[in-house]
Amino acid sequence: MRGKKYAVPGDLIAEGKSLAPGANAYKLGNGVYSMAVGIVEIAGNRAGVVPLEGKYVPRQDDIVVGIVIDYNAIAWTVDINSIFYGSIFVRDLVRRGSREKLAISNVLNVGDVVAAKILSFSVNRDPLLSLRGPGLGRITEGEIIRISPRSVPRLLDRRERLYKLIEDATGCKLIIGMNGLIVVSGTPDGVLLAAKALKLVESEPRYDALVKAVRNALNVGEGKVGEADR
Amino acid sequence: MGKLIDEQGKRTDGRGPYDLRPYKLEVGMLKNADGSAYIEMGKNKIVAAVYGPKEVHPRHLVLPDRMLVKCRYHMSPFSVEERKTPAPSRREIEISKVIREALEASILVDEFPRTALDVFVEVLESDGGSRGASITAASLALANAGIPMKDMVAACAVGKVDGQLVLDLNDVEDKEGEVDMPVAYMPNLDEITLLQMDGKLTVEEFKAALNLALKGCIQLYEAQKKALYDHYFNSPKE
Repeated sequence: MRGKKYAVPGDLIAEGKSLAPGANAYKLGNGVYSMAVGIVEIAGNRAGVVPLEGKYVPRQDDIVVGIVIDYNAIAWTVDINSIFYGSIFVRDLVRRGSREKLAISNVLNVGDVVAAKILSFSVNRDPLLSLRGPGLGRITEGEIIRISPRSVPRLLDRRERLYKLIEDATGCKLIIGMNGLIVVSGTPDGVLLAAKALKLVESEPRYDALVKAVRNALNVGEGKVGEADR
Repeated sequence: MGKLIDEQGKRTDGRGPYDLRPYKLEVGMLKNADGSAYIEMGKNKIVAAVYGPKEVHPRHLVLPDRMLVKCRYHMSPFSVEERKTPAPSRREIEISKVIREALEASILVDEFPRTALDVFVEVLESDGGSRGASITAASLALANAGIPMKDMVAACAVGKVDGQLVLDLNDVEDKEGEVDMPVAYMPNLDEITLLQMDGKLTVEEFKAALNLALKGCIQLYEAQKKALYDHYFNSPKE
């Protein structure tokens, strides 16, 4: 707990003339105040807050998992569990000329799950997605598990690489969307175990405690790589 | 009349004139909503839930430069002594509007243009001063939903009962008293986001009443912060 500072909206997080407000913070007089519940982060002369709550806000180059909810002649609309729907242009997947021969719904249909990359986004335009790239495209097997988008960075944190730990211990493959949708594929028992571990990731914001809890749940000791090498 | 405050200066529920009713705040008890909060204030029991930001439906309501905030204040049929029809009354529509405006002042609405935010306030049991308690709870629910906001909004009422200024009116004082004045306040920014008044006050009385209300709001504001710290960091502030 020491050394880390927490903030709720309206909290004074730092004071000083030369300070600039970072993410989720604003300046009033000499003080920088928080706009969200989260953990204070001071880097250089910027004081900001890493939020613990809130919906996923698209960011360029993020990988997301989405569900196709609609399509027309130009694009598919994808629910990416965010504040806006994403769209995938038909011309991203179907080559010019082949358009007449192929029904668009044969390529992607309503209800299909896709792993996509965010090509571009600004708050004034809905996010544009692309399926071109390694590991991207339609997902045909696995279970979707939803966790809070704010907890995904914990899963991807380089220090302990929890996603790797879960994959190794359960023998499942994870496709992690930054938007909080995670596709787990493997044996039924493995999927259940992975789901349990993912729920832990969602509920424990303190990283050290989280690593311990996940290792416990997966029966993986310190440094030991699970049963993945079977 | 002269029965709302007794000889010792105690009110009908045993409080002194400048005391708030006992209150209890809770955050995040609803799983399906993006954010939620619960408040008990005297006999008031109020649930607030927040959904969003999300796509705007119907589409023609989209605001190109800011977030659309919608609010619904509703009293359950069982919230009062005699069954209330569940249909929204004139009073509920008005309160929905003032709650929305009181909260909107704290939200950074231009952060997410073209989106909608739904705020639902459900009064399970009512005991006077419910709009203030609703704002206090709804603001907490917004923080729980991760909506960017400049400050929390706390609200309570002041009034004049038996010729004396009192803080946080209960049901009887609200109905029998001379003045009821709900105030919502953002302590950090020192801004008032709601001020209504029923009845008459002199200028001096008004100034004193407003001061008293702000003091009550600050007390509730601290309670809001404590509720958030308890929920997220389970350790007291500082």
